[in-house]
Amino acid sequence: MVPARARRAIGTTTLTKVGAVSTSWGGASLSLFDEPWSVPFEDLYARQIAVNEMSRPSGVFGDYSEIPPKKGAQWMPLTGLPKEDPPKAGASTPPKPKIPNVWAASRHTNEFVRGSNVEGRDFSGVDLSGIRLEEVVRGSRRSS
Amino acid sequence: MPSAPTKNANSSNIAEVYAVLFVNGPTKSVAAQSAILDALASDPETAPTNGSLNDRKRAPFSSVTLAADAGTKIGSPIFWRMKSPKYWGMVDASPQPIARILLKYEDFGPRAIRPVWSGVARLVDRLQPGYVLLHFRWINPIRDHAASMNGMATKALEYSRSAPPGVFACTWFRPELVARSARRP
Repeated sequence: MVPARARRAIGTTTLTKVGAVSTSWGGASLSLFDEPWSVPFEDLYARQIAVNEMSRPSGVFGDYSEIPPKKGAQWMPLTGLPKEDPPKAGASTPPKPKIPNVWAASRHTNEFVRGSNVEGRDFSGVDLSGIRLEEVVRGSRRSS
Repeated sequence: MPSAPTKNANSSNIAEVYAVLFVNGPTKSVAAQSAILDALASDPETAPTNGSLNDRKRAPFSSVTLAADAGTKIGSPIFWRMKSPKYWGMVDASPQPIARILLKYEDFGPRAIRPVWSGVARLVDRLQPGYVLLHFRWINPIRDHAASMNGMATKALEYSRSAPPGVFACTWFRPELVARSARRP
């Protein structure tokens, strides 16, 4: 279903095909319904999905269902942004951050605690900020 | 788990209306901030009543003072409209090529949505942004509501890198984007 005002065409672009109409300043506006706040949510959502699907092949829109968002296939990132691309081949890569030797040595030993696997230990009420779990486990083993 | 919404008029379930506008930057200047804040102040539906760079300091709104502060000091303007239709909003004061204007209308009756939509449409006509979305946040949102709102909180940097987040209840596009949509992969 296309809103009544969407019947006026502005060209042959993808946006037009999904119901966009021209604005006085040369842009386009697209309203899923004439009064989208008045229609049932199910209808609004169904129309939103349908229009997004129709416009997907244009590559104009990004996919924001993922984190970070997936870039639209035809989107050229705007210039002047902070660099985020990986360094090109041959360029010097920054060194990986080093962790303290004590931490590194605890890997693959019982001293190393993976993730939050701390069953049987009650840390409630304890300020653990700035303390690594390995140190807590190591300390508790020493005391027992 | 919240129950599925009944299939009835949408407006009574709408808690907030979001208007998100992406304008060309940079906006870290007194002139750019003045243009945006004056446009906001010139319409009865979007005119702020209070504003400052500090979200704890709701000083009476003055586009001159706020633009001068935002253009020269650290921080971006935050502003409020304390009378109907109430909203709070913010404008990026940023050296980036894209800046975001966010208006979040809340605490309104179902009949207030049309005037809000009209006010945002007039603001769009004045600022001619690159991309604008107007969408809703529903009371007790379920998964479909969340999916419908996906991308609504997009920030300027994400927009710049990843493209606009899609089509919402109302969406506006600038000519460059319209032309871009005509390309074929």
